[in-house]
Amino acid sequence: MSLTVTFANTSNEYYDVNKKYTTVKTCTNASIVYPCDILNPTFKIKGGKIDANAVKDVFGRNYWIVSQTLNEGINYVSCTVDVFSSFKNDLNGSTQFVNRSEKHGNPYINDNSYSCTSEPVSMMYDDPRTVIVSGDLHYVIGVI
Amino acid sequence: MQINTTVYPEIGHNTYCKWSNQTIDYSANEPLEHSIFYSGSISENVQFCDETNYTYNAQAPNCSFSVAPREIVKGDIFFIKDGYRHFNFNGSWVYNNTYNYNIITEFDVSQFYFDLDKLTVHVYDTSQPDGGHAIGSVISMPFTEYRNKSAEYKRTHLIRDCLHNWGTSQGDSFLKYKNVENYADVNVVPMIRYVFSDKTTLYLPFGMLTNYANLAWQGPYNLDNFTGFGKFSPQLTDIYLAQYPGIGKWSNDWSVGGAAQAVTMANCGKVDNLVIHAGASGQQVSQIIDGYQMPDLTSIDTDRYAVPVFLWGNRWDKRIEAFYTDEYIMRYFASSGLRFKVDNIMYIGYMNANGQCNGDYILESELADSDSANKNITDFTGSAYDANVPYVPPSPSERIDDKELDMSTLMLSGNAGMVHYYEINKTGTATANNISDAISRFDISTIGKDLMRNLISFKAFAVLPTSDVFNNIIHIAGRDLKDDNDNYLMGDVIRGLSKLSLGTIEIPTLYNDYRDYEPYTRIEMFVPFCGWFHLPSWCMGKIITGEMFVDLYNGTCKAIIKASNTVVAETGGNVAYDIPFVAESTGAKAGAVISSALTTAVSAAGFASTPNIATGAAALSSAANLASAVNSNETTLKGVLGDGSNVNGLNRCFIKVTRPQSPNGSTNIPDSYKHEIGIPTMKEVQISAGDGFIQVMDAKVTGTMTAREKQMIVDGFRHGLNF
Repeated sequence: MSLTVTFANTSNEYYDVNKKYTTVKTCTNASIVYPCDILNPTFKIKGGKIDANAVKDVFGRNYWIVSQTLNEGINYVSCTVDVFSSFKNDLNGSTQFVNRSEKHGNPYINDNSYSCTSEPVSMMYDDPRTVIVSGDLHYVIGVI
Repeated sequence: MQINTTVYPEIGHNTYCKWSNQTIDYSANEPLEHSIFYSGSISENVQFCDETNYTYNAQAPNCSFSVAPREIVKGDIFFIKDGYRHFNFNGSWVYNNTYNYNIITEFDVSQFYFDLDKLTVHVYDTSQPDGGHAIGSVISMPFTEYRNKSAEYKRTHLIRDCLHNWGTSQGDSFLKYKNVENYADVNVVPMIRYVFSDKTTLYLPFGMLTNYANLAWQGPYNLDNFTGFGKFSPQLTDIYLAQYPGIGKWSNDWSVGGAAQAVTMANCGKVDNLVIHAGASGQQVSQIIDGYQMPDLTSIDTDRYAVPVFLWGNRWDKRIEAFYTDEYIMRYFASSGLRFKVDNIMYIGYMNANGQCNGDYILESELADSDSANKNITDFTGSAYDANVPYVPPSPSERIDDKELDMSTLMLSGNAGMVHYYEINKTGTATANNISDAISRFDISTIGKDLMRNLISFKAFAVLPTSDVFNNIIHIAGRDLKDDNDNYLMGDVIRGLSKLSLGTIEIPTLYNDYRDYEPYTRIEMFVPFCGWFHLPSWCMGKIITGEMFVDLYNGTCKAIIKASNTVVAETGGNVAYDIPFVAESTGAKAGAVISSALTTAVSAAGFASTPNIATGAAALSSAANLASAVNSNETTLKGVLGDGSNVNGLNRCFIKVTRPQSPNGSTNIPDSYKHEIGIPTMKEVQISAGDGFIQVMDAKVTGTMTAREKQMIVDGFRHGLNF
């Protein structure tokens, strides 16, 4: 059975959820190597190497291309599922108790991960308007 | 922080502020309703449109509206602007695609607000030693951050930062040019020029009114053409102050909107040196705006010096004030005729008789106080505050609505009963020949015939007790012992405590995050006579006030330190030390003996410009010993010379803040760190695209994924995902 497989490139990193793909090639006569683990499928297409690093929208998932094996005019494209991109609709909008974040953080919570130098700097502040020592001595005598 | 105006009709003159397009001669007193003004032509095409329905194309410039803009109506507020400057008021944008200035006849200040959080302060260095390029650069920071900077920081760090930001080579050349080694000595310093909102530019009018026709870019810039120019603050008239009324845009490009030629001392303020720069097609054309000549022209090579047209500041007392306090900025806003409250201070704009727009303020508590003399204040024209005069912070009692510590709350608040204490001050001994002379003239019925036999203590105090602790008078043979200035020379101490103000210190934040607090940052305070002690971390950013209560009987003192009305520390010490004295049983020779001792002591210690404790005390001791030796059979040396080291130290309070240094040299945590590692959040968040880095220790995931995929997602959250 022929299968349509869209090969694409993404410049996003592994842990990016909302990846952007640029379609490189769409193969309408691809097939699957069985038995097939849908988390790690291998697609079989005719032709040579494809300059792509991802496969989109197969089995309702997106995949990273792990390797491409060429044999007698056939390209065996091994993939592994990109769960973050595949299920981004489940992740976006989800409510989580967040430990650390880029934009929701509270700057007043201690962050032991961000180190400071061991050389503290002291600064002095004063109110020069108020000098309580007058410069003169004053005397008080006590008499019973 | 959103600032909402509050209208006080009973005290205000500008519940409705009128903008006038009339040329007004402000040589005479003008009605206060002209407190907001601008002189210019009126465009009938003023349009308002909601921000969300408005797109502005700066390049054209023009704008497009997704819904039709409407005509202005009463209640709309906007500032002076030109065709491509606009300001966000009350949620609405105002835009005019003509190049005319627009005037609204009335607006309701009760509808006015602006958002401090969105304001950015730009700090400039204004120097132009080579006549063409500004040496400094712009330091920008949110107004809310600027508010927290200390005066010291504003004075020093901003100068340094401005210079350094511009580039080491030019910054160095500037310093060499000025022949200074210390940034604090730099005479031309950065200053706040304008306050901007985040999206738009806010321009505030200056206190000069002129006819719009005279704002043509040729000829009329002769200052002589400006009515009332000579009426600037007198203290500024000797420094070639030049003010050019008008408005304009801020530009970080000096060549746009700047002066075409250097304006030197010889031609300062002349019309033909200031021109409008019509930018290239598509650029935002700028116009000459207010310009002040700041540098101290007497100390530099004036031929190479240019007037920074786009910058302004004030010079005061032979130097330029480089910074404004946040109160000053608020008053600056108010000088536009607006009234609003910040931190329980109501700011009010007014125009003085010279046609200057000024801002003043009054404590909200004062308005609410039926006993306040200012409750019904309606006229600020007599105020000492002037927009052209650098702001001098008010005394703490004016700023902080705190409760005074009442004497009754203190333990030692009564009198000494049958024991009397007398304070002998410098004036008294100056009028009398010496202390013994003064003592000898005591009212016998008050003190007793044999004073020397009854002396029980003799202490030297390093602080000046407040006058309220003394009884009215000591009589000498039926007449008051007063000096020529009607000061009492000796006083009977009627209350044991004298209260002294220790001043006010603001502890400035630096990082505006957890690093401003313990264990990263440590705050210590020094109080004279009491030494150093630790202040709790939550004092950061607070205004610290202190009071000292001095026990005049025994010399002990108690310092009570408050942060925002809460007592945070209480510490004690001793402000006095014992001086030995000679007591004599027979009394016949005692007067002479103690006279000798006291005279020696006072002459050696009492009138020194600074407390010369050791010398004075030693002299006393020496004199007392001598007297004791001469009269060995009849006199006794009482007491020993006290340890005066506690009164020989710093003469005022200090706050010492010990902070960690940031590894990257910036006070801000880098964006890259936030993006890759995040900062602690510890709360429930509904995640959405664009949130960036999110790390969740135990994610809850639902969906059609397989168990392995679910685990991969959970692991990914634990590592941190980028949304």
